[in-house]
Amino acid sequence: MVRFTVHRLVRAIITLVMVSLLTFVLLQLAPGNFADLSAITSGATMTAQGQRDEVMSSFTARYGDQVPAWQQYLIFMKGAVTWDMGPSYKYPSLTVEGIIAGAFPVSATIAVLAVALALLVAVPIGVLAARRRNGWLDNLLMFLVTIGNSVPNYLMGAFLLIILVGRLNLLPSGGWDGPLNMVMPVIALAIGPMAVLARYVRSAVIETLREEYVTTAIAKGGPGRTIMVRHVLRNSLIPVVTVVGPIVASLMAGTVFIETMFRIPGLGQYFTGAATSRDMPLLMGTTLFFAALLVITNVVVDVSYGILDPRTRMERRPA
Amino acid sequence: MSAERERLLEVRDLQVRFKMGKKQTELVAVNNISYDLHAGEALAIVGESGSGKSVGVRALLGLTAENGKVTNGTALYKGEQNLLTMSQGRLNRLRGKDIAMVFQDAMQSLNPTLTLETQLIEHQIWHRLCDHTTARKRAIEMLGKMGIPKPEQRIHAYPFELSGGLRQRAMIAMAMVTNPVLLIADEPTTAVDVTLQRQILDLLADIKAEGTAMIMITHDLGVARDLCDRVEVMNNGEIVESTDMTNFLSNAQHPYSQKLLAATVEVGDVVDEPDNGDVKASGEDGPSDEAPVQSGSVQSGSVQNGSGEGGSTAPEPADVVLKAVSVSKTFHPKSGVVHAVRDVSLDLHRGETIGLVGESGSGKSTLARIFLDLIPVTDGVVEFGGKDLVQMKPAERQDLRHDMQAVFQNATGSLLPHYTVLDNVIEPLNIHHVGDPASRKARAKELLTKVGVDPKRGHQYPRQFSGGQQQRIATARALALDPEILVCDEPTSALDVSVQAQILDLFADLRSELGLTCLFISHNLAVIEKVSDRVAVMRHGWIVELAPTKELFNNPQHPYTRQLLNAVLPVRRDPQQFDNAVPEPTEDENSELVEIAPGHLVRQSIGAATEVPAA
Repeated sequence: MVRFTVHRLVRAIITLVMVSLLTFVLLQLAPGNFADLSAITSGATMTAQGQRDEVMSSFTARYGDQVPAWQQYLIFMKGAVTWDMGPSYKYPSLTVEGIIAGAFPVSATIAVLAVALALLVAVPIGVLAARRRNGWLDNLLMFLVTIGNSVPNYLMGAFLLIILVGRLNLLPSGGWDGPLNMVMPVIALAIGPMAVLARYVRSAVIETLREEYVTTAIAKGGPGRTIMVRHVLRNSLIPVVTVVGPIVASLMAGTVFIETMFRIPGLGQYFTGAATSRDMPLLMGTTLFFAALLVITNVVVDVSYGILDPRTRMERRPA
Repeated sequence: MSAERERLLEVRDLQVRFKMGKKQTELVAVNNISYDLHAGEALAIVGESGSGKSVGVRALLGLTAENGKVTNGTALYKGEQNLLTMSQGRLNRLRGKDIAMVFQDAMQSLNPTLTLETQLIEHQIWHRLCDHTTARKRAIEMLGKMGIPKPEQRIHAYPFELSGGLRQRAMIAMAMVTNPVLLIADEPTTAVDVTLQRQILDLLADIKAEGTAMIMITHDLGVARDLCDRVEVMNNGEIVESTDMTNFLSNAQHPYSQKLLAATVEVGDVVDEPDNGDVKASGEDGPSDEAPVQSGSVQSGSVQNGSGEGGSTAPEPADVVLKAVSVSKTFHPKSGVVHAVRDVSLDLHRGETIGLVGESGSGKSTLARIFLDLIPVTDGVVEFGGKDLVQMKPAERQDLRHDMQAVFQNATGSLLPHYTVLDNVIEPLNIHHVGDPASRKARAKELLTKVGVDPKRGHQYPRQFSGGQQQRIATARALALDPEILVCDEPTSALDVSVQAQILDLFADLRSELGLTCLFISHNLAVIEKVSDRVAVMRHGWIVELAPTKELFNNPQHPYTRQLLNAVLPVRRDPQQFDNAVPEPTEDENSELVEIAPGHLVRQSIGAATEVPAA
């Protein structure tokens, strides 16, 4: 078990280093830098000029004057390891770690709620469709799933805004003050994963229903619902868990459209904003954070595999 | 004879239809079958694959697959309740409680993610037989009764944590824990080794002795004979003969029953030929010319008659085609070390067939793979034509592949599905650049004719052929290069008895005609006896006994060989006394093969007395 953990840890570190290198190199290769781009977008006015100077001075303070790119990389990585990544270019008054620490809980809350909602709906739909496979109900559900899969979440968000706010005026249209603010973004974000997961659950359940141990359970006289939950669902969820992990991680990194649409202070805006404005520290910081999230969720998936499937628990040996 | 006993089950005109494929073609899997079962009686339903024997019985418990439907008939349980029409709720109250079922493979029919505890208790609770604590106690008791040691600990195990034998017992314990009136067993021993099969059947015999009625679905007449009082023979969805077991064995009336009996290959056939005659003589219009096995005829050719004790079994050294000296193979999977083959020395003489028997995991197939140069040895030397396989150059290795061909168990899997049959047979000729396209095609057609496949069907694909025909095609492909050595790894194990008999005949003909040298692997002792000149018995990677076939079967010396032979369930005579205890392993690093008679080697501990134990 110790060897397994060490092995995973080493692999995680290698992954993160690779991701950071790739991001940094791509950023260097991309046309333009922060200073030029911000000059263009703000029309090189006096204030912009002043802002630029301010940024450049803080940059010099941290990275020194005229340092080669590879040194910048090393300095940033040192900061990343010590959770001290310095100020963002675009938001000079904020540090990168401060931005992440402030925005991540918001994105994470929405992500977890959205995936929970998606699972809550997808599992029953998948099971129902599997039990009635190739019947009209299955066809209908799978048709809806296909639609759900093809509607982009910002379109869904727009629909929700028009109906729930524009017509019915039930909910606040945006902001981040209380639970009511979460309803629309969570629903909008959940639709896509819901469709993907429903499909997965359906095919996993169909496969499990063909297993001889399910026939055995029926031959033992089990009530349908108990058999479905105890014998079918548990074994079907093992492959589904693998898909849920990355979905959660990607939602946690924030979603630009939804955050913009509902004026939510999540990670997504910073993430994309950093890329378009060539904000090196913020982009590197958020990318690495996302990579670390993925690595962690994969570990969580592996652990939950062990809980769901005793065969993968390493410490147990056949007797 | 059973009028005094309660009639447990009356099946009348049961019909099950399936809708197959995209066109929803109707297929009548079970066609109006009728039979009775009385309390405490054991009924065998025998037939070959596709005969509908399993479908017909599963239909009684509402276990018909979703594309199937019961379209006719009644099945009265205890004279009043019709199993086929009762509500799901009422059926649920019967199945698992009154009527329990065990399936072929415990690995697949036990839920892999639940402990035995859950799986042995849940249906006791469903049927409201007792509370949880009592259910648990009964589960532990039943596991113990089924011969599982330390049941109070094993009940916490997951199925994968048990050995195959214990798993099979746990599955039967699960069925029996509710104390059912009727136990339905669907090929309960087909997936297990011969010694375990015997143990499981002894267990079922005990259950039967305690008064549980039984329906046993099997293709193995030996298994049916061992346990059952009556027999229903099914063919193409219909019951063609219904009689009691003794009558069936001595006086089967229907040609299909006779064919099944005649096709059964069993230990001792080669010695006692008249036995077989009795059965055949009974049917005047018996399938004399298409009968797959004319007993004994196969042996007339290349096999020595066993009279000369080793006379022809020790040919000149020059005749050794393939030679293994102290070969070992060790695998290193994640969970430790597996010694698959240990210190095996074996000479294959030109024109002889060596049979390799042993249970699954004994190292038979690994040894075959070593001989085929598919995996390298860990230790020791394999020589082909006097050359060490390890030191062969690529070109020589190519020649080796040319001279050595293999036929495997799974014919479907070993033929290229997207190649036509003809292309499959031609492929080795292409690889080895033999002849030109026209001559290759001619050769392939000739081979197909030789193995009994119509060359006109050469343009069809493997899936369009039956299992037996696919094995013929695989054999034709193996013969394409005119190999010196043919390695056959369980080539008939997946086939029905009548097809198996035909394939064995084919091998016998090919051997005498082509002078092939053969390594023939099987877990079926009867098959081995029929085809082999010499037999090597393997266990835990060691050869424990090596002897001329007749010598081995008449005078087995190693305790394990004896246990194997005793475990066999013959159709035409009574089975041997069988001792459950696994014989003490005599094979370890401190043992060696000792020649106790010319050509008869037995593994004994070094330093142990070399005298021959009493037979």
